[in-house]
Amino acid sequence: MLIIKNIHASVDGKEILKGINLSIKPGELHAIMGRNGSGKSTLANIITGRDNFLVTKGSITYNGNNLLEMSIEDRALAGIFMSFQYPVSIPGVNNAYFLRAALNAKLKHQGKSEINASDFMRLIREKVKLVNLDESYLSRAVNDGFSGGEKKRNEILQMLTLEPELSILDETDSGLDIDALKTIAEGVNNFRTETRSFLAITHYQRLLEYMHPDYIHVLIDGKIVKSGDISLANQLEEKGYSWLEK
Amino acid sequence: MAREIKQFQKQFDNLLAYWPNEDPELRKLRSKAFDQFKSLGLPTKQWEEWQFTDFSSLKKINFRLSQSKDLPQIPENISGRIPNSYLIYIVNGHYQKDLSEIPESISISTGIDHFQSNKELYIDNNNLNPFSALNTSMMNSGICIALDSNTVIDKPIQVIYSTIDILNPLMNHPRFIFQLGKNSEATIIEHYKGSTELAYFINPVSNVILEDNAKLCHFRIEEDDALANHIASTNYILNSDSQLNSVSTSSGSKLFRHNINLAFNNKGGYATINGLSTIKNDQHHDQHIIIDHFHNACQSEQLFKYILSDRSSGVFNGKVVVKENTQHTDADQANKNLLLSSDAIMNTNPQLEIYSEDVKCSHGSTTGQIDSEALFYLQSRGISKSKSIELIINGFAKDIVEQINNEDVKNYINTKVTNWIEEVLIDA
Amino acid sequence: MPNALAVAGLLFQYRANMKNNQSIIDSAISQEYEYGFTTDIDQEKIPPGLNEDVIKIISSKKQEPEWLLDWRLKAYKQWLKMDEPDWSKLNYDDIDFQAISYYAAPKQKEKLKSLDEVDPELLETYNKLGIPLEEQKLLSNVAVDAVFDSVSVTTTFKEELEKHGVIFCSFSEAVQKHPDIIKKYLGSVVPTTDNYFAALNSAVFSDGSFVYIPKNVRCPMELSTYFRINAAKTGQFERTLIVAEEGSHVSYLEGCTAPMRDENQLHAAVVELVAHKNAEIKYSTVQNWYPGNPKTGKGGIYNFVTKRGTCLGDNSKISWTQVETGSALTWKYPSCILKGNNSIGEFYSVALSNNFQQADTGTKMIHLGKNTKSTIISKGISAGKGQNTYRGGVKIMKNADNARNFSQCDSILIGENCGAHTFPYIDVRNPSAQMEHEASTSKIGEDQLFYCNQRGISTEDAVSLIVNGFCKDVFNELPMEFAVEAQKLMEVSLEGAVG
Ligand SMILES: Nc1ncnc2c1ncn2[C@@H]1O[C@H](COP(=O)(O)OP(=O)(O)O)[C@@H](O)[C@H]1O
Ligand SMILES: [Mg+2]
Repeated sequence: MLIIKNIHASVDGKEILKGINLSIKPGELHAIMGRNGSGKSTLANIITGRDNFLVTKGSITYNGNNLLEMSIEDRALAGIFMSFQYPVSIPGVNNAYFLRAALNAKLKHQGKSEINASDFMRLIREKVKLVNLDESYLSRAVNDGFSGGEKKRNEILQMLTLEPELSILDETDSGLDIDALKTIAEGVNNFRTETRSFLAITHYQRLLEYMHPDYIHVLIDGKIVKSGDISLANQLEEKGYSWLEK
Repeated sequence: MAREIKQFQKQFDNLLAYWPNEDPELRKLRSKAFDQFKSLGLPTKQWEEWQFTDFSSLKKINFRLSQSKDLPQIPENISGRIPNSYLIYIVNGHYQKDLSEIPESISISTGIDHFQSNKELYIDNNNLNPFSALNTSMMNSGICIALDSNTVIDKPIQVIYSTIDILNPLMNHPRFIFQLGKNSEATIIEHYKGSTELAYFINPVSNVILEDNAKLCHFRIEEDDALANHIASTNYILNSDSQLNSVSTSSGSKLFRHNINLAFNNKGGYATINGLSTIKNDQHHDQHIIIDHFHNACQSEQLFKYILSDRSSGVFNGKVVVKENTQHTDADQANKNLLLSSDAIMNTNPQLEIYSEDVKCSHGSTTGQIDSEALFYLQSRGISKSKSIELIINGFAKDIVEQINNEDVKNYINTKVTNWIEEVLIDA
Repeated sequence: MPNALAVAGLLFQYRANMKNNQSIIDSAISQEYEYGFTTDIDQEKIPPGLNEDVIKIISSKKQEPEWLLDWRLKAYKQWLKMDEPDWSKLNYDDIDFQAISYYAAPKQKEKLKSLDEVDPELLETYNKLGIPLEEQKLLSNVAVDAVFDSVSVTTTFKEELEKHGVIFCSFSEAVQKHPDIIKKYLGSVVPTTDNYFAALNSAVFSDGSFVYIPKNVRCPMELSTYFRINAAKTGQFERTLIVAEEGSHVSYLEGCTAPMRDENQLHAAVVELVAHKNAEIKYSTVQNWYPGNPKTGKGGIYNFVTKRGTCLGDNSKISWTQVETGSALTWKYPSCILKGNNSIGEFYSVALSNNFQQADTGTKMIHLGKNTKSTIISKGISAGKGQNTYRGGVKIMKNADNARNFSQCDSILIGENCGAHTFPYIDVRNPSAQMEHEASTSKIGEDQLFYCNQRGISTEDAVSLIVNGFCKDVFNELPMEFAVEAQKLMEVSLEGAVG
């Protein structure tokens, strides 16, 4: 479904990704681990189309289409979702209204009719429970004044509502207490199907205990230096990253 | 011709007669500027940029240009001297070379010499400011400090411009030029100090140029006599990646007006411009600041504070202009005022004028009296009311004082502010 | 509906910004002005030009008492001596006051008693404007006084209001029926000499609305007036007076539209509000006069308006809310004079300047009484080549002990050729005052746009979403129906803007 070939990317002339290869098939959950600053978010941003990074080499195809040529929203409408590491707040914009606008954009793209306000509220009330977020958050402005954990739950709420094919979770676990972590992992696990894929970015092994990834990749200085199964995460937990560095 | 203009004309003619052998080009410059001054006249209430300040005191008194006979007995201890600094000493308009201590690495020149080798610096662009024109026409004192590229001065240079023991209402039009070459660094204290029995008029213009990557700390201290009229312009030009830390305090002078103009002449400049005015009785202090963001990636921060007592009045007018097609501008502007008396008046107008999209600009302004909550808090901790008030006022001034990154200057200002507060509280 | 080219144009704006790729499309075809139709009805119009005779004609057509004619003539003489103000940031060609016709009225027989008598064409116009008068009677709780060009045509809900003793009628009618009140208050808040345009209005005003709320009456419904300029080469000079007696309460709404014309049309209105002890007046405006041709900047309304309210009595309150999306030029400073102790003044404003529009707007809060409070929230949006200026004035006078002011002026910029300016002018003459002013200017957030895009929302929709969020604090102050309308208006106005 997603094929990344030899991606090089830079910002302000500084090379950050130095040849990434990664291929994700339907139903798979891949985890990327790495220290702060190794380029994990950069990779997520390139897949979703953020403009401030320059792809200098390589290709990304998504369901056979050249992803790099698509606009940000076309990628989103094609089924790619990112749970942001740092979700931005949008003052004055009602959270539920925002989510309905996003859902309607998707329905419209699929040639379906838009969802009306009352059906939407019914739908969203269900989902809110899944992430253990109070309903009152729906009527607040998007992420405005939300705590770190509330923002992350809100991201997952959006994922559950928009039902993407490929979900990129950029450090959705960081800053969460253990209960919140479980809630979110559970939300994701219940959401897993044979067609939905995930790319979970983290630098803790913690999340993976709950999520059971199919593959683990270690990103160091813009390159995937090692890939493996869950045992790799355990090794990292014991030995840290240095044994993988040259 | 208005009476006061006639008076200035007489002084102007005297000046030309006094220096008959001046460079003809300088004469031309003076005459042109004087014509301009005449055509503008003194500001009136109808002038938007001058509306809150009354200049009639300049009409009532005939000020005479300082002459060599006005050189007083030089006091043994120079008042206002800040320790651990070089000194350039000017008294009643007369440069005292012998008393000055000048670092070897800089070149100092007085007006005429400097003019001859740097004529381009004397072109007066500030052509709507009549006082600036007046200064150009009659500049009679001041000094130029020039730093070569890569020079770093180890100690601050204190320029004391003192006015003492005058026998007539005098006027002076000092012209200062501070030029910092590429990568050079300096701290300059421009210090006005006065103690007189008579009114006087001082009208300085300071042109400050920072070449690429230069760093300047410019501390301007105004402590003229309470009878003085001090009307000044400071013009900063910042080239690529240069940095300015400017702190200006004013506490003397009955009438004080200071125009600060700052232009970023190239990308990457950084300027903090701060001011503290502590005024009482019927003092009137007016500051106008314009910062032109005409180039990319420049950053400016302004903070001006006023503490007003008795019947004093303050004016703050700050403007940030961001030109079309500039990128990554970051400008912040704040004005905070503390009114200590029911007769004090504060006029403030922090403005933003923005023609480019890629900006982050903000400004804020507050005016109020001593926070009663804070007062209560301190008193409840057993501190006397007057001591509490003193602490709060001191705390208010602190933001600005803390911007002074030289301990000796900071101590000097701190002492002055504390004394001022004590005096005001005793009077009250 | 967003049109495809506008979307393309918008995308271009953001991509181009980030990558400095200037080459794609220059501008997109912008949204047509939705209310740009003219109405074909017989107009009674006096020839262009202004002199004492014209004023006499206006006055006699309205069968005014002599004192009013004298008042007009005095204002006219004063106007002749005044200069057009030049201190604003507005740039425009000189207005030829002799080329304007100062009176245009739809030709009609007599006073109308019911809607059935109104010219069907006229009613159709209102329908296009979205104010179906007939339906309103049934569906909504809004009484409408519609001012078509200069003469008030009809007023609904009269009877219901009369029951409560509320007077809501055209200004001309009030002059006939309630001359004492008019005489007492006319010019009491905005004197004829106040400014150039107020003087002009005082000389030539043709009609407007009058509201009187008796003591301790809470007006049972929201009162509303629609203004529309229809006739070519006419000016509109309406005059509104609202008097709220002790302990009364009223909410008044005003909407404005004008057809598309190539020449500029002048609108110089005066609004006076008087709130007595414990009274409250809430005045809301949604202004979308024709802004001029989005591509050439030709045409559009010149909107020079003087709006002012006096909080005469203790504990009174006046609140202005405005959404200004139209007009080629806007020159408008709804103000409050806070005379009564504990009185409150509020100003909530959204001003959008797109394409060639220029707005110079803000408020003045004059604190005279003790414990007076004022709040100013201003949101400026500049797009295209638009220039938006906030110009305010907060004066805290000597006797205004414990006065409070809070001002917040935020601007956003969309595109590279627009401007935003803030001139707050603050004057404090009492130490117990507490005044706080905050302002910020920035471009629309790239991170916010990316976030919306990542959720599949197009850039155009994202911009309108973010801008609407930015304006929320002001929209919240509008009555519900107006808030929805305002939001829609922002969308429409922005579509044209970002090209
Ligand atoms: N917009 C940017 N401008 C400059 N450097 C950036 C930018 N974004 C990321 N970087 C740099 O790229 C590197 C990788 O960052 P990131 O992908 O966020 O790391 P991670 O998510 O693995 O912690 C870091 O060194 C970071 O400083
Ligand atoms: Mg990251």
